[in-house]
Amino acid sequence: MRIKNKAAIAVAFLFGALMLIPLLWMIGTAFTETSFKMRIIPNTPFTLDNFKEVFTMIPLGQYYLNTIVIVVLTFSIQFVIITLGGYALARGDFYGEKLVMAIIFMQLIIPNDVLIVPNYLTMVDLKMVDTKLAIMLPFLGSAMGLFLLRQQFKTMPAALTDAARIDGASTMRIIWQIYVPNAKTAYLAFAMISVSYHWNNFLWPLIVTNSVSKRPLTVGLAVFAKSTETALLWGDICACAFVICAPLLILFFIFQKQFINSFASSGIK
Amino acid sequence: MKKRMISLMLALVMLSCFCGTVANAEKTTDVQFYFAIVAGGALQQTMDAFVSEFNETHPEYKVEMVYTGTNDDNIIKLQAAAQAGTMPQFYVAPYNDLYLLDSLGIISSMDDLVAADEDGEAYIDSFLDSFIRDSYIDDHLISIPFARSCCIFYYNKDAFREVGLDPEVPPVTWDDLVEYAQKLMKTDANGNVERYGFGLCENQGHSQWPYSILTAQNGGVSNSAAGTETYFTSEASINAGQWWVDLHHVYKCVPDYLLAFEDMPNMFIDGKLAMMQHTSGNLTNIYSNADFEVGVALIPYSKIQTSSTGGQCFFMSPDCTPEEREASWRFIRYCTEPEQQARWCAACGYLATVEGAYETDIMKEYMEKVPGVQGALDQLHAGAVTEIATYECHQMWSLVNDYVQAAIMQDMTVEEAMTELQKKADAILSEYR
Amino acid sequence: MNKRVSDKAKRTVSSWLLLLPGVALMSMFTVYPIFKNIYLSFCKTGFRYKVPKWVGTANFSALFADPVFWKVLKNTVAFSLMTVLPSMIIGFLLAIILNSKFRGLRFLRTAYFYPVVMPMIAVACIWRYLYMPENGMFSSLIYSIFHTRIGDLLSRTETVLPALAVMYVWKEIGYVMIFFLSGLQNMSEEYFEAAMIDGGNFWQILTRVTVPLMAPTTLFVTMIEITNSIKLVDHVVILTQGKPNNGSNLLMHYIYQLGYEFFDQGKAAAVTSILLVILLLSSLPRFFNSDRAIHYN
Repeated sequence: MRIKNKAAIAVAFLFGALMLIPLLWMIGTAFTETSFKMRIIPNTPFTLDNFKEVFTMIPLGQYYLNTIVIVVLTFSIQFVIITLGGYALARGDFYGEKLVMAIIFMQLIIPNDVLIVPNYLTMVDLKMVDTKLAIMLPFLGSAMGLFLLRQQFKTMPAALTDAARIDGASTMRIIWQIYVPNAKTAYLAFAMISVSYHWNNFLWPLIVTNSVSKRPLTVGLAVFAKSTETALLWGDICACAFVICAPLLILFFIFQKQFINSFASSGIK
Repeated sequence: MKKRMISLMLALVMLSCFCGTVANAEKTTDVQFYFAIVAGGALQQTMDAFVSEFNETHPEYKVEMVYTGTNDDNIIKLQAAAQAGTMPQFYVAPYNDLYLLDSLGIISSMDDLVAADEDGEAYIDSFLDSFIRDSYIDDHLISIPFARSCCIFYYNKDAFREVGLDPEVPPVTWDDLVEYAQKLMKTDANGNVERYGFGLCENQGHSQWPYSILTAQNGGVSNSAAGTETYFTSEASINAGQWWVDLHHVYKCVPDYLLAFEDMPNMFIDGKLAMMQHTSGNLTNIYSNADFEVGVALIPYSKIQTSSTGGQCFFMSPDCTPEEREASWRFIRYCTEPEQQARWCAACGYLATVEGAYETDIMKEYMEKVPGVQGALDQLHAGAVTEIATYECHQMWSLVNDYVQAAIMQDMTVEEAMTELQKKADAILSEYR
Repeated sequence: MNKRVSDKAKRTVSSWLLLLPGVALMSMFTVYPIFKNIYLSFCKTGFRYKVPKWVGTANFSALFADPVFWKVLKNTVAFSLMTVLPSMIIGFLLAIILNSKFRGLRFLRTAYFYPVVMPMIAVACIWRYLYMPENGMFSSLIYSIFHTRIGDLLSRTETVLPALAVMYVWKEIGYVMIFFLSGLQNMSEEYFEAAMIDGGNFWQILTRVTVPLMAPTTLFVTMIEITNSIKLVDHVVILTQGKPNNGSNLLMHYIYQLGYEFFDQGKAAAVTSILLVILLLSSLPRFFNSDRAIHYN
């Protein structure tokens, strides 16, 4: 079904322009001197002072490092776990398969984000409150990742593995040398979802950590935004938000198609 | 031979190290404290300076500071430390969290330290009454005022002139305030309000402050000294609430929405609010950013001239040795000497908690730059009460906010709101009675 | 026969070994906490209790007797309706537009989708100033065009949820759109050509061909969107903290408030249990069609 109506296309562009207002305002405000008169396109002089201020007021470098560590470690561990599990699920036909699928569906229906109270108490019991590991742990066994890889691995022809098996390859070799290289798109999709999810995650890290040395960018921004009562703060907040959004936005502008396909290939962010 | 020499030397080095530590251990008492700030900025720099100066000038003690982030983080860390048995010897926390800290079992009375100190009584007397008054539970001193503030009255002198009010004669009573505020309202040709007469904070997490002030000005008390009773349905409380609601719906001299604490300084500086009640913590900000003449005066009242205080105090943990208590006490005293309080005040915008600080050169210089500090000091002398402080205070504040907002939005009458509020407060506090 | 059984037994051992880390983690942080949460729902916790104390249904009866709980529940349903429906409709229309061919498609796709990759926290921090009263962005914009002041949308009962919803929809439509877009792209053009030959106009084709064909995608997107709108809390934490008078308090924020501001984790667990029931009920349609539980191209 395609649109040819000129008016509809004009409306589409108008809507696109409206969608851009917050982004334009954020960038404009971050890079100019703050004034009381907010404008979508500011008319005050260009400056980097907002960034300088933000970097002296909050330990953004530390927060950045924390976020990167959390995001990279989370994905790396998830990668191993879902690869192994996804292979077993794709091969199927074992006792307890239904149970595993049931657990997976359970997590898909009840995301870990809502289980903050019991999971927090578990972290207390494990003496892991205020550690980066606590931020990552509940998300390492990703039901979505397992399901995604199961589906992807299922599409691989059995002939491939049969041949390898006859050659005497072990299961591990089959997984890492045949399955993994042939599932690049699924991995890419999951990587983008996992990275953007953990880059953006807020409530769980807020609850389970309480030190600058462990907290990610999102929590840092929220604490900053809520802790100050001085005037004309929007320049600083925009600068800070820009710093946090920039990596994902730039990646998105470059790899737009992959990003969109990744999100489309999963039901969960 | 060579080998033996080396081992002998090693042994000597080790021995001397050992002796060194023993000698040190005899001499220094190590104490640690938690301080609720987000790292960075003037607060950290000033506090770091206090710690290193103290450690240099008092070789017998060694103080170590741990930043614990926001006040919420601080409480959670204190709770965790209490459970794990790793409590710091002392800490800085919001002054009105005292009952919450008490229910955690992590406060201790400092009466013994005051008594043991040769000039203990004089030291306690050196604090401004309005601040030290908040530091007692049942007549026992449980905290030392450190980073404190006060709600003060700001007004725009240029706006006063514009509408023919004398900028040197600020409103004194609630009636004056309403009259002035109505005069100061300005609308454009389309009937849009360009400037509101008055404002006080009404958004989530902040309206308990004006509530405490208005009630106290009406001659009422918000809570009992033991923190287990609240008096929301008292006449003073209900009348205070009613006046607040009337500002919106009868006198129509405040914004017709719930005014947010964080938005108020911006609106005042931008000339959108002619008068406001706000924290003294904004003095520097307002004086340096407003392009009109700013006035600070006593808060208009009905029966009793009073405001309400804010900020943080030093608290001491119950589980520490007498030596550790002594070390903590020395450091706390160091931070509350007039000189240090003046530096803290000038650098971070708090109000110095000891009278003497206002006589120092640092303070005089600061007050020349920010004349409003004098107004804040006058307010403290005139009177300032404790903000509502009870057990489970966070929940209590949230409830006060809910019901104040409900009354302002006319979802219920003030009486209904205060009755409901009292019922909920009773349900929470009954456990502690 | 025997060989097949032993084959399966062998496979069972290796499969479970491969699945062990994943299943262990999921059990620990998804399955176990669900039951732990149900247990906690019947306990009193707080500063004064070193271990949770069993109190029966006290938490639930306190909740059910509290008008705030009902208000929060109502807000959550209202917020879901206000976000899911508009983002579905707009997302669907945008997908139809992006499924066409004209210059500037890439620009539009970027403009529609970019909010999805931004952290909600950053978005909320920015929108706080867009929504700020008086000299806020929207307020000044509307004043300069219509010469009227809108006041503070975030502090009025009637406007606070819609204002949050507008921000949420802005952030979410790109996400909804791509599901519809991939649904449309998987659809054969023949359907439309046939309908076109039959003389159908745009509206007829839309309602009689496109919408019915998109039913499975729609069902699936609805489920996801309901879950997403329920589990989100960042915007409330930054923008309103539930004001005015709990007018914008949503279930997840209520849980956070009870558990981590009031330190009453028992009650927070009770609300979580109720939320779990809601999530289960709202995903029932997914059970009936379990192989499509994840939309997969």
